[in-house]
Amino acid sequence: MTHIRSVAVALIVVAAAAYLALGAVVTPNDVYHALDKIPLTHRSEIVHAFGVGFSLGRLVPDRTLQLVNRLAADKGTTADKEGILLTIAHALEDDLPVTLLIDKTEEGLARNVPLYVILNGSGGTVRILGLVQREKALVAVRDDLLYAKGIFCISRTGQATATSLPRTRFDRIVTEVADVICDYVESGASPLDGHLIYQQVQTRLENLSQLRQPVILPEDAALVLARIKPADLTEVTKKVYGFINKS
Amino acid sequence: MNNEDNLERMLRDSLRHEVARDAFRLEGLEKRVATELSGRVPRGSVWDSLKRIIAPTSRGRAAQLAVVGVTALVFMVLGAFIGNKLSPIGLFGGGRHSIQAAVSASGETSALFVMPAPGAKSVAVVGDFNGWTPTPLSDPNNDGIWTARIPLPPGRYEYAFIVDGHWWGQDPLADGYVHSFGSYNSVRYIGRVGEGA
Repeated sequence: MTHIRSVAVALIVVAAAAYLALGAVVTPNDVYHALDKIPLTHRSEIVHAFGVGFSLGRLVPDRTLQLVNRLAADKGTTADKEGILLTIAHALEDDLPVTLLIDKTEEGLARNVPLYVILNGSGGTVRILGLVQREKALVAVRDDLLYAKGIFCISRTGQATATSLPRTRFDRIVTEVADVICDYVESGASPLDGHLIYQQVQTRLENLSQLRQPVILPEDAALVLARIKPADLTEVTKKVYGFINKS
Repeated sequence: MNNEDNLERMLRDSLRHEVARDAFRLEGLEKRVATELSGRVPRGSVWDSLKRIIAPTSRGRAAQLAVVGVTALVFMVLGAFIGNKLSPIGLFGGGRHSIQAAVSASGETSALFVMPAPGAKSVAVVGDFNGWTPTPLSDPNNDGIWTARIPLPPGRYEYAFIVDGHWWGQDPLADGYVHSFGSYNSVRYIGRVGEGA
Protein backbone atom coordinates (compact mmCIF):
# COMPACT_ATOMS: atom_id res chain seq x y z
CA MET A 1 0.00 0.00 0.00
CA THR A 2 2.82 2.35 0.93
CA HIS A 3 4.58 1.41 -2.29
CA ILE A 4 1.54 2.32 -4.39
CA ARG A 5 1.21 5.62 -2.56
CA SER A 6 4.88 6.43 -3.29
CA VAL A 7 4.44 5.68 -6.98
CA ALA A 8 1.33 7.86 -7.11
CA VAL A 9 3.14 10.78 -5.48
CA ALA A 10 6.05 10.38 -7.89
CA LEU A 11 3.68 10.41 -10.87
CA ILE A 12 1.97 13.56 -9.62
CA VAL A 13 5.32 15.30 -9.17
CA VAL A 14 6.43 14.31 -12.67
CA ALA A 15 3.14 15.48 -14.14
CA ALA A 16 3.37 18.80 -12.32
CA ALA A 17 6.93 19.32 -13.49
CA ALA A 18 5.96 18.52 -17.09
CA TYR A 19 3.03 20.93 -16.88
CA LEU A 20 5.24 23.70 -15.56
CA ALA A 21 7.89 23.02 -18.20
CA LEU A 22 5.38 23.06 -21.03
CA GLY A 23 3.69 26.12 -19.60
CA ALA A 24 7.02 27.98 -19.63
CA VAL A 25 7.44 27.61 -23.39
CA VAL A 26 6.94 30.98 -25.07
CA THR A 27 4.95 31.00 -28.30
CA PRO A 28 4.59 33.66 -31.00
CA ASN A 29 1.10 34.35 -29.62
CA ASP A 30 2.67 35.43 -26.31
CA VAL A 31 4.73 37.94 -28.27
CA TYR A 32 1.67 39.26 -30.11
CA HIS A 33 -0.20 39.66 -26.81
CA ALA A 34 2.76 41.52 -25.35
CA LEU A 35 2.69 43.91 -28.31
CA ASP A 36 -0.71 45.05 -27.04
CA LYS A 37 1.07 46.81 -24.18
CA ILE A 38 2.37 49.35 -26.72
CA PRO A 39 -0.23 51.43 -28.59
CA LEU A 40 1.12 50.73 -32.07
CA THR A 41 -0.23 52.34 -35.21
CA HIS A 42 1.38 49.72 -37.49
CA ARG A 43 0.63 46.67 -35.39
CA SER A 44 -0.57 44.47 -38.25
CA GLU A 45 2.59 45.08 -40.31
CA ILE A 46 4.77 44.27 -37.32
CA VAL A 47 2.82 41.12 -36.48
CA HIS A 48 2.99 39.95 -40.10
CA ALA A 49 6.73 40.51 -40.33
CA PHE A 50 7.34 38.87 -36.97
CA GLY A 51 5.31 35.88 -38.18
CA VAL A 52 7.67 35.55 -41.14
CA GLY A 53 10.60 35.82 -38.74
CA PHE A 54 9.25 33.07 -36.49
CA SER A 55 8.54 30.78 -39.42
CA LEU A 56 12.08 31.16 -40.80
CA GLY A 57 13.71 30.86 -37.40
CA ARG A 58 15.12 34.38 -37.59
CA LEU A 59 13.12 35.31 -34.50
CA VAL A 60 13.04 33.27 -31.31
CA PRO A 61 9.80 33.68 -29.31
CA ASP A 62 11.27 33.90 -25.79
CA ARG A 63 13.93 36.42 -26.72
CA THR A 64 11.46 38.47 -28.76
CA LEU A 65 9.01 38.46 -25.86
CA GLN A 66 11.74 39.70 -23.55
CA LEU A 67 12.54 42.50 -25.99
CA VAL A 68 8.91 43.57 -26.37
CA ASN A 69 8.38 43.55 -22.60
CA ARG A 70 11.47 45.64 -22.05
CA LEU A 71 10.42 48.11 -24.72
CA ALA A 72 6.92 48.34 -23.22
CA ALA A 73 8.41 49.09 -19.78
CA ASP A 74 10.83 51.73 -21.08
CA LYS A 75 10.02 55.37 -20.42
CA GLY A 76 10.77 56.38 -24.03
CA THR A 77 8.15 57.61 -26.46
CA THR A 78 5.71 55.31 -28.20
CA ALA A 79 7.00 56.61 -31.54
CA ASP A 80 10.53 55.45 -30.76
CA LYS A 81 9.28 52.08 -29.49
CA GLU A 82 7.32 51.61 -32.69
CA GLY A 83 10.30 52.82 -34.71
CA ILE A 84 12.47 50.09 -33.22
CA LEU A 85 9.87 47.40 -33.83
CA LEU A 86 9.26 48.64 -37.38
CA THR A 87 12.99 48.63 -38.16
CA ILE A 88 13.20 44.99 -37.09
CA ALA A 89 10.01 44.22 -38.99
CA HIS A 90 11.32 45.97 -42.10
CA ALA A 91 14.52 43.95 -41.96
CA LEU A 92 12.52 40.73 -41.68
CA GLU A 93 10.33 41.72 -44.62
CA ASP A 94 13.50 42.50 -46.55
CA ASP A 95 14.70 38.92 -45.93
CA LEU A 96 17.51 39.97 -43.59
CA PRO A 97 18.80 38.38 -40.37
CA VAL A 98 17.87 40.45 -37.31
CA THR A 99 20.05 39.02 -34.54
CA LEU A 100 22.32 42.04 -34.71
CA LEU A 101 19.38 44.46 -34.38
CA ILE A 102 17.77 42.64 -31.47
CA ASP A 103 21.05 42.27 -29.65
CA LYS A 104 21.93 45.95 -29.95
CA THR A 105 18.45 46.97 -28.83
CA GLU A 106 18.71 44.77 -25.75
CA GLU A 107 22.17 46.14 -24.97
CA GLY A 108 21.00 49.72 -25.39
CA LEU A 109 18.02 49.13 -23.11
CA ALA A 110 20.27 47.54 -20.49
CA ARG A 111 22.61 50.52 -20.67
CA ASN A 112 19.66 52.92 -20.30
CA VAL A 113 20.45 54.50 -23.65
CA PRO A 114 17.57 56.73 -24.83
CA LEU A 115 15.36 54.94 -27.34
CA TYR A 116 15.88 57.57 -30.04
CA VAL A 117 19.66 56.94 -29.84
CA ILE A 118 19.14 53.18 -30.00
CA LEU A 119 17.01 53.77 -33.08
CA ASN A 120 18.80 56.60 -34.88
CA GLY A 121 22.32 56.57 -33.44
CA SER A 122 24.37 59.67 -32.86
CA GLY A 123 26.78 61.43 -35.18
CA GLY A 124 28.33 63.66 -32.53
CA THR A 125 31.82 63.49 -31.11
CA VAL A 126 31.09 59.96 -29.97
CA ARG A 127 29.85 58.03 -32.98
CA ILE A 128 27.01 55.66 -32.16
CA LEU A 129 25.28 53.52 -34.72
CA GLY A 130 21.54 53.07 -34.33
CA LEU A 131 19.31 50.33 -35.64
CA VAL A 132 18.67 52.36 -38.79
CA GLN A 133 22.37 52.39 -39.71
CA ARG A 134 22.83 48.77 -38.72
CA GLU A 135 20.00 47.69 -40.97
CA LYS A 136 21.61 49.64 -43.82
CA ALA A 137 24.87 47.86 -43.06
CA LEU A 138 23.12 44.49 -43.30
CA VAL A 139 21.59 45.46 -46.65
CA ALA A 140 24.91 46.77 -47.98
CA VAL A 141 26.81 43.64 -46.94
CA ARG A 142 24.23 41.37 -48.49
CA ASP A 143 23.62 43.30 -51.73
CA ASP A 144 26.82 45.22 -52.42
CA LEU A 145 29.25 42.68 -51.05
CA LEU A 146 27.95 39.13 -51.16
CA TYR A 147 25.44 39.33 -54.00
CA ALA A 148 27.83 41.50 -56.00
CA LYS A 149 30.51 38.83 -55.60
CA GLY A 150 28.22 36.00 -56.60
CA ILE A 151 27.53 34.61 -53.14
CA PHE A 152 23.83 33.96 -52.72
CA CYS A 153 21.38 32.41 -50.33
CA ILE A 154 19.36 29.39 -51.39
CA SER A 155 15.92 30.77 -52.15
CA ARG A 156 12.82 29.82 -50.21
CA THR A 157 11.90 27.42 -53.00
CA GLY A 158 15.13 25.60 -52.40
CA GLN A 159 16.63 26.46 -55.78
CA ALA A 160 20.37 26.86 -55.63
CA THR A 161 22.35 29.17 -57.88
CA ALA A 162 26.03 28.84 -58.71
CA THR A 163 27.30 29.64 -55.23
CA SER A 164 24.39 29.41 -52.85
CA LEU A 165 24.60 28.87 -49.15
CA PRO A 166 21.82 27.63 -46.87
CA ARG A 167 19.99 30.52 -45.25
CA THR A 168 21.37 30.08 -41.74
CA ARG A 169 24.95 30.03 -43.03
CA PHE A 170 24.33 32.98 -45.34
CA ASP A 171 22.61 34.93 -42.54
CA ARG A 172 25.51 34.33 -40.23
CA ILE A 173 28.01 35.72 -42.73
CA VAL A 174 25.86 38.78 -43.38
CA THR A 175 25.48 39.36 -39.63
CA GLU A 176 29.15 38.95 -38.78
CA VAL A 177 30.53 41.04 -41.63
CA ALA A 178 27.98 43.80 -40.97
CA ASP A 179 28.87 43.70 -37.27
CA VAL A 180 32.58 44.05 -38.03
CA ILE A 181 31.87 47.05 -40.25
CA CYS A 182 29.61 48.64 -37.62
CA ASP A 183 32.26 48.07 -34.94
CA TYR A 184 34.83 49.58 -37.26
CA VAL A 185 32.71 52.66 -37.92
CA GLU A 186 31.99 53.15 -34.20
CA SER A 187 35.70 52.91 -33.43
CA GLY A 188 36.14 56.18 -35.32
CA ALA A 189 38.63 54.76 -37.84
CA SER A 190 38.75 55.94 -41.45
CA PRO A 191 36.33 54.29 -43.89
CA LEU A 192 39.00 54.57 -46.57
CA ASP A 193 41.35 52.06 -44.96
CA GLY A 194 39.98 49.03 -46.78
CA HIS A 195 42.95 46.85 -45.86
CA LEU A 196 42.36 47.35 -42.14
CA ILE A 197 38.65 46.61 -42.53
CA TYR A 198 39.49 43.50 -44.55
CA GLN A 199 41.91 42.40 -41.85
CA GLN A 200 39.20 42.74 -39.21
CA VAL A 201 36.68 40.82 -41.33
CA GLN A 202 39.28 38.14 -41.92
CA THR A 203 40.07 37.85 -38.21
CA ARG A 204 36.40 37.56 -37.28
CA LEU A 205 35.54 34.95 -39.91
CA GLU A 206 38.64 32.88 -39.25
CA ASN A 207 38.15 32.97 -35.48
CA LEU A 208 34.56 31.80 -35.85
CA SER A 209 35.55 29.06 -38.28
CA GLN A 210 38.25 27.68 -36.01
CA LEU A 211 36.06 26.87 -33.01
CA ARG A 212 35.36 23.34 -31.82
CA GLN A 213 31.92 23.65 -33.34
CA PRO A 214 32.51 26.28 -36.03
CA VAL A 215 29.97 29.09 -36.02
CA ILE A 216 31.00 29.76 -39.61
CA LEU A 217 32.20 26.84 -41.68
CA PRO A 218 35.83 27.15 -42.79
CA GLU A 219 34.82 26.76 -46.43
CA ASP A 220 32.30 29.60 -46.12
CA ALA A 221 34.92 31.87 -44.55
CA ALA A 222 37.42 30.96 -47.25
CA LEU A 223 34.83 31.60 -49.96
CA VAL A 224 33.98 35.08 -48.69
CA LEU A 225 37.58 36.08 -48.04
CA ALA A 226 38.63 34.92 -51.48
CA ARG A 227 35.96 36.92 -53.27
CA ILE A 228 35.82 40.23 -51.43
CA LYS A 229 38.56 42.81 -51.71
CA PRO A 230 39.54 45.68 -49.41
CA ALA A 231 38.12 48.15 -51.91
CA ASP A 232 34.71 46.44 -51.73
CA LEU A 233 34.68 46.82 -47.97
CA THR A 234 35.64 50.48 -48.30
CA GLU A 235 32.56 51.10 -50.45
CA VAL A 236 30.25 49.38 -47.99
CA THR A 237 31.78 51.20 -45.03
CA LYS A 238 31.46 54.54 -46.79
CA LYS A 239 27.76 53.82 -47.24
CA VAL A 240 27.32 53.27 -43.51
CA TYR A 241 29.22 56.51 -42.86
CA GLY A 242 26.89 58.27 -45.27
CA PHE A 243 23.87 57.14 -43.27
CA ILE A 244 25.41 58.47 -40.07
CA ASN A 245 25.81 61.90 -41.55
CA LYS A 246 22.22 61.92 -42.76
CA SER A 247 20.78 60.92 -39.42
CA MET B 1 116.42 31.69 -27.84
CA ASN B 2 118.92 33.99 -26.13
CA ASN B 3 117.07 37.02 -27.40
CA GLU B 4 113.78 35.71 -26.01
CA ASP B 5 115.39 35.16 -22.60
CA ASN B 6 116.70 38.71 -22.65
CA LEU B 7 113.29 40.08 -23.60
CA GLU B 8 111.59 38.19 -20.80
CA ARG B 9 114.14 39.43 -18.25
CA MET B 10 113.67 43.01 -19.42
CA LEU B 11 109.89 42.72 -19.07
CA ARG B 12 110.15 41.23 -15.58
CA ASP B 13 112.51 44.01 -14.49
CA SER B 14 110.20 46.62 -15.92
CA LEU B 15 107.17 45.20 -14.13
CA ARG B 16 109.05 44.85 -10.85
CA HIS B 17 110.09 48.47 -11.16
CA GLU B 18 106.50 49.57 -11.81
CA VAL B 19 105.20 47.61 -8.81
CA ALA B 20 107.92 48.97 -6.54
CA ARG B 21 107.15 52.52 -7.66
CA ASP B 22 103.39 52.24 -6.81
CA ALA B 23 103.70 49.93 -3.82
CA PHE B 24 102.82 52.69 -1.37
CA ARG B 25 99.38 52.92 -3.00
CA LEU B 26 98.58 49.37 -1.93
CA GLU B 27 99.27 50.02 1.74
CA GLY B 28 95.99 49.73 3.69
CA LEU B 29 94.06 48.92 0.51
CA GLU B 30 92.14 46.08 2.12
CA LYS B 31 91.09 48.30 5.04
CA ARG B 32 90.02 51.09 2.69
CA VAL B 33 87.87 48.74 0.61
CA ALA B 34 86.24 47.35 3.74
CA THR B 35 85.51 50.86 5.00
CA GLU B 36 84.07 51.87 1.62
CA LEU B 37 81.81 48.84 1.44
CA SER B 38 80.58 49.22 4.99
CA GLY B 39 79.61 52.81 4.16
CA ARG B 40 77.54 51.73 1.16
CA VAL B 41 75.71 48.78 2.64
CA PRO B 42 73.25 49.87 5.34
CA ARG B 43 73.91 48.21 8.61
CA GLY B 44 71.32 45.75 9.68
CA SER B 45 69.71 45.50 6.25
CA VAL B 46 67.80 42.41 5.18
CA TRP B 47 70.53 41.63 2.68
CA ASP B 48 73.16 41.98 5.37
CA SER B 49 71.27 39.64 7.63
CA LEU B 50 70.79 37.18 4.81
CA LYS B 51 74.52 37.29 4.04
CA ARG B 52 75.31 36.57 7.66
CA ILE B 53 72.96 33.63 7.58
CA ILE B 54 74.30 32.23 4.34
CA ALA B 55 77.98 32.90 5.07
CA PRO B 56 79.98 29.93 6.33
CA THR B 57 79.69 29.70 10.08
CA SER B 58 80.43 27.26 12.77
CA ARG B 59 76.89 25.93 12.47
CA GLY B 60 78.05 24.11 9.40
CA ARG B 61 76.72 23.49 5.92
CA ALA B 62 73.75 21.41 7.04
CA ALA B 63 72.27 24.38 8.88
CA GLN B 64 72.79 26.63 5.85
CA LEU B 65 71.11 24.15 3.59
CA ALA B 66 68.22 23.88 6.01
CA VAL B 67 67.75 27.67 5.99
CA VAL B 68 67.90 27.84 2.20
CA GLY B 69 65.56 24.87 1.88
CA VAL B 70 62.96 26.29 4.23
CA THR B 71 63.12 29.67 2.48
CA ALA B 72 62.64 28.03 -0.91
CA LEU B 73 59.73 26.00 0.43
CA VAL B 74 58.05 29.11 1.84
CA PHE B 75 58.44 30.89 -1.51
CA MET B 76 57.08 27.87 -3.38
CA VAL B 77 54.01 27.65 -1.15
CA LEU B 78 53.43 31.39 -1.38
CA GLY B 79 53.91 31.30 -5.15
CA ALA B 80 51.46 28.46 -5.57
CA PHE B 81 48.89 30.23 -3.39
CA ILE B 82 49.22 33.58 -5.14
CA GLY B 83 49.37 31.94 -8.56
CA ASN B 84 46.21 29.99 -7.85
CA LYS B 85 44.45 33.12 -6.66
CA LEU B 86 45.59 35.54 -9.31
CA SER B 87 46.32 33.59 -12.47
CA PRO B 88 42.68 33.73 -13.64
CA ILE B 89 42.91 37.51 -13.82
CA GLY B 90 46.08 37.39 -15.82
CA LEU B 91 48.71 38.70 -13.41
CA PHE B 92 50.56 35.47 -13.92
CA GLY B 93 50.84 33.94 -17.36
CA GLY B 94 50.23 30.35 -18.13
CA GLY B 95 47.50 29.84 -20.69
CA ARG B 96 44.71 32.12 -19.68
CA HIS B 97 42.33 30.49 -22.12
CA SER B 98 42.76 27.12 -20.51
CA ILE B 99 41.76 28.72 -17.24
CA GLN B 100 39.00 30.98 -18.47
CA ALA B 101 37.24 28.72 -20.88
CA ALA B 102 36.83 25.09 -20.05
CA VAL B 103 35.55 22.04 -21.85
CA SER B 104 33.80 19.40 -19.79
CA ALA B 105 34.19 15.69 -20.28
CA SER B 106 30.91 15.69 -22.22
CA GLY B 107 32.30 18.34 -24.57
CA GLU B 108 30.24 21.23 -23.21
CA THR B 109 32.08 24.53 -23.09
CA SER B 110 31.83 27.17 -20.42
CA ALA B 111 33.40 30.51 -19.60
CA LEU B 112 34.84 31.63 -16.30
CA PHE B 113 34.24 35.31 -15.70
CA VAL B 114 36.56 36.88 -13.14
CA MET B 115 36.37 40.42 -11.83
CA PRO B 116 38.65 41.73 -9.09
CA ALA B 117 36.49 44.19 -7.15
CA PRO B 118 37.53 44.41 -3.50
CA GLY B 119 34.87 46.06 -1.38
CA ALA B 120 32.15 45.80 -4.03
CA LYS B 121 28.65 44.99 -2.86
CA SER B 122 27.50 43.36 -6.10
CA VAL B 123 29.14 42.27 -9.32
CA ALA B 124 27.36 40.88 -12.37
CA VAL B 125 28.13 40.12 -15.96
CA VAL B 126 25.90 41.11 -18.87
CA GLY B 127 26.34 40.14 -22.47
CA ASP B 128 24.78 38.93 -25.65
CA PHE B 129 24.75 35.41 -24.17
CA ASN B 130 22.22 36.38 -21.49
CA GLY B 131 20.26 39.02 -23.39
CA TRP B 132 22.14 41.72 -21.43
CA THR B 133 20.36 40.73 -18.23
CA PRO B 134 22.71 40.55 -15.24
CA THR B 135 24.12 37.19 -14.16
CA PRO B 136 25.59 37.64 -10.66
CA LEU B 137 29.20 36.82 -9.80
CA SER B 138 30.04 35.58 -6.31
CA ASP B 139 32.89 36.07 -3.88
CA PRO B 140 32.55 33.25 -1.36
CA ASN B 141 36.05 33.78 0.08
CA ASN B 142 35.55 37.52 0.56
CA ASP B 143 38.92 38.09 -1.07
CA GLY B 144 37.60 40.62 -3.56
CA ILE B 145 37.83 38.22 -6.53
CA TRP B 146 34.34 37.75 -7.96
CA THR B 147 33.74 34.81 -10.27
CA ALA B 148 31.02 33.03 -12.21
CA ARG B 149 31.24 30.07 -14.54
CA ILE B 150 28.62 30.13 -17.25
CA PRO B 151 27.98 27.29 -19.71
CA LEU B 152 28.23 28.71 -23.22
CA PRO B 153 28.32 27.05 -26.62
CA PRO B 154 31.33 27.85 -28.81
CA GLY B 155 31.12 31.33 -30.26
CA ARG B 156 32.05 34.97 -30.00
CA TYR B 157 30.55 36.88 -27.10
CA GLU B 158 30.39 40.55 -26.16
CA TYR B 159 30.01 41.39 -22.50
CA ALA B 160 30.63 43.84 -19.69
CA PHE B 161 30.71 43.71 -15.92
CA ILE B 162 28.43 45.74 -13.68
CA VAL B 163 30.14 46.61 -10.40
CA ASP B 164 27.82 48.27 -7.89
CA GLY B 165 25.74 49.59 -10.78
CA HIS B 166 28.68 50.87 -12.84
CA TRP B 167 29.45 49.28 -16.21
CA TRP B 168 32.96 48.04 -16.77
CA GLY B 169 33.50 46.95 -20.35
CA GLN B 170 37.25 46.43 -20.41
CA ASP B 171 37.98 43.02 -18.95
CA PRO B 172 41.78 42.63 -18.89
CA LEU B 173 41.32 38.99 -19.87
CA ALA B 174 39.21 39.68 -22.94
CA ASP B 175 40.32 38.67 -26.41
CA GLY B 176 39.43 42.16 -27.63
CA TYR B 177 37.24 45.20 -27.19
CA VAL B 178 34.69 47.01 -29.32
CA HIS B 179 33.06 50.40 -29.04
CA SER B 180 29.39 50.25 -28.24
CA PHE B 181 27.01 53.07 -27.37
CA GLY B 182 29.93 55.36 -26.62
CA SER B 183 31.52 52.86 -24.26
CA TYR B 184 33.35 49.55 -24.50
CA ASN B 185 32.38 45.92 -24.63
CA SER B 186 34.80 43.10 -24.01
CA VAL B 187 34.92 40.28 -26.53
CA ARG B 188 35.73 36.66 -25.83
CA TYR B 189 35.83 33.59 -28.04
CA ILE B 190 34.66 30.40 -26.35
CA GLY B 191 35.45 26.93 -27.61
CA ARG B 192 38.73 27.54 -29.36
CA VAL B 193 40.48 24.41 -30.50
CA GLY B 194 43.16 23.57 -27.96
CA GLU B 195 41.38 24.90 -24.90
CA GLY B 196 41.64 22.31 -22.18
CA ALA B 197 39.36 21.29 -19.40
